[in-house]
Amino acid sequence: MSKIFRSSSPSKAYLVLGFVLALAFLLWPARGLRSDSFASYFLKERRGASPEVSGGAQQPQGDQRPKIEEATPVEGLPAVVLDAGHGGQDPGAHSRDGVVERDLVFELEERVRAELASTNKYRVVLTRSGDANPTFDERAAAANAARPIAFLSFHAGNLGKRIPRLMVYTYWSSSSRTPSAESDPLAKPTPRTGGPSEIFVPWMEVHERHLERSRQLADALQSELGKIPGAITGKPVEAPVRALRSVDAPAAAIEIGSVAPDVNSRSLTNPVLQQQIATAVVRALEAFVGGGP
Amino acid sequence: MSRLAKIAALAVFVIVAAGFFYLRALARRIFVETPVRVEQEARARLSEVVLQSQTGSRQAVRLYFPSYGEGTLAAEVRQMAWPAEDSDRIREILLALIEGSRQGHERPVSPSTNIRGVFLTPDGTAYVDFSSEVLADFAPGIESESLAVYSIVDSLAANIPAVKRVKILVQGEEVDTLDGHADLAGYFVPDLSRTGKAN
Repeated sequence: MSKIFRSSSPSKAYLVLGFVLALAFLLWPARGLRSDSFASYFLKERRGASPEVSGGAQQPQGDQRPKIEEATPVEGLPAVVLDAGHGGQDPGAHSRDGVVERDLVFELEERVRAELASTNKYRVVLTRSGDANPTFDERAAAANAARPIAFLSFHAGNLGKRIPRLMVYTYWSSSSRTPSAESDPLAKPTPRTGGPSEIFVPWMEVHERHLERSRQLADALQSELGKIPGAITGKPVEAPVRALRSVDAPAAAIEIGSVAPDVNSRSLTNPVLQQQIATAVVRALEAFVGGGP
Repeated sequence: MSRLAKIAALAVFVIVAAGFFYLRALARRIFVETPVRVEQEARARLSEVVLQSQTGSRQAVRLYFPSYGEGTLAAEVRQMAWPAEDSDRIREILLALIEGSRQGHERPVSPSTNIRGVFLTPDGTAYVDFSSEVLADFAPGIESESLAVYSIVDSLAANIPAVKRVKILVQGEEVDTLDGHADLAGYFVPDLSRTGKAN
């Protein structure tokens, strides 16, 4: 290239430069197409940017790539995975007064992490670092690699008009994995024999063997969260929580609310309330671990 | 720079720019305008079904609407046009849910939602395909999304015995979640635990 510029006439150099610029101009839209689907590239353009609602907890500016962070890398201790829902361009639920689920649950998760770390009994693994937004499967994969004793997913959402309301969920979907489970021999449960079926558990069904312990974890959480003054709680609910589906450990989701467009949720960012929730979560984990098999 | 080179560079630029705008227009026609046309056709078909169904018999239908503050589904019995075909009945029930409660209960899906398609297979699987507006004005959350899903599933199964399970699609495609929380990967069977009718 330098030879062209040195030895050739300036017109040739301009031609090459023009060609390079034209090529860059032509390829510019294709970058978006490769990293995304053709349709979503144009749909994104049509819909505009996702609605950003400022406010809520201060979001730390971190690495934008999905990254799994081991908060307290202490070998030998049992792992607890904390999963703050949403992140990055996915704000989740938002309230009338600008509280955003992504930021609210991140702050809550940080408080629980600090509280857990202070016990020196657990290795805390976070599925979300900074403002990254790993996929559900990336979060589950990271959690499963840590072989945790418990997985806690934090969410905020529409829980009616009363605040603060704290709900605990375990995974259960009344769905079947095939259109006609009873007529599909592949859908029937395979007896556990210690053979290959014991080793290769379908990714979508991996959590099913932990349902009983998950219910115990949820009961412990509900019991402790119910002690928070003024908080409205209810019995743990079985729900099709996507975040829990592929977690190979006892798991529960905690939803704090209400965070909805017709509700003012600023009181949920109160540090006192958040600390009470964090303390309750750690106490519940202690009770769960102590009452395990 | 020679005159020839300038003309050549200008020509390259014009061709590239024209090509880019042509590609852009082509992609818009394929990916943006087509769904709009499909929506209009779906709406027209739906209107036909509604007109046909209004000439048929009427029946008391039990619909389930979410109560977000309570975490339950509230039953509402309504006299509705009741077509002969099960797939048309599914449409009628979905339209009633989209219309919303007449007793002040919450709405499971946005009123701007269109039903793009309904299909009932011989094994009792009802495929219901909503337009992307199903998420418009929806306040996401684990409870709200779970209630929205079971509002649809339980309302269909409670009134149409042929419906054994429901698969929810959005814009003709399987989606991972309704709005970031509820897992839509499977085929939902009725779960009356939220309606107070379990056990």
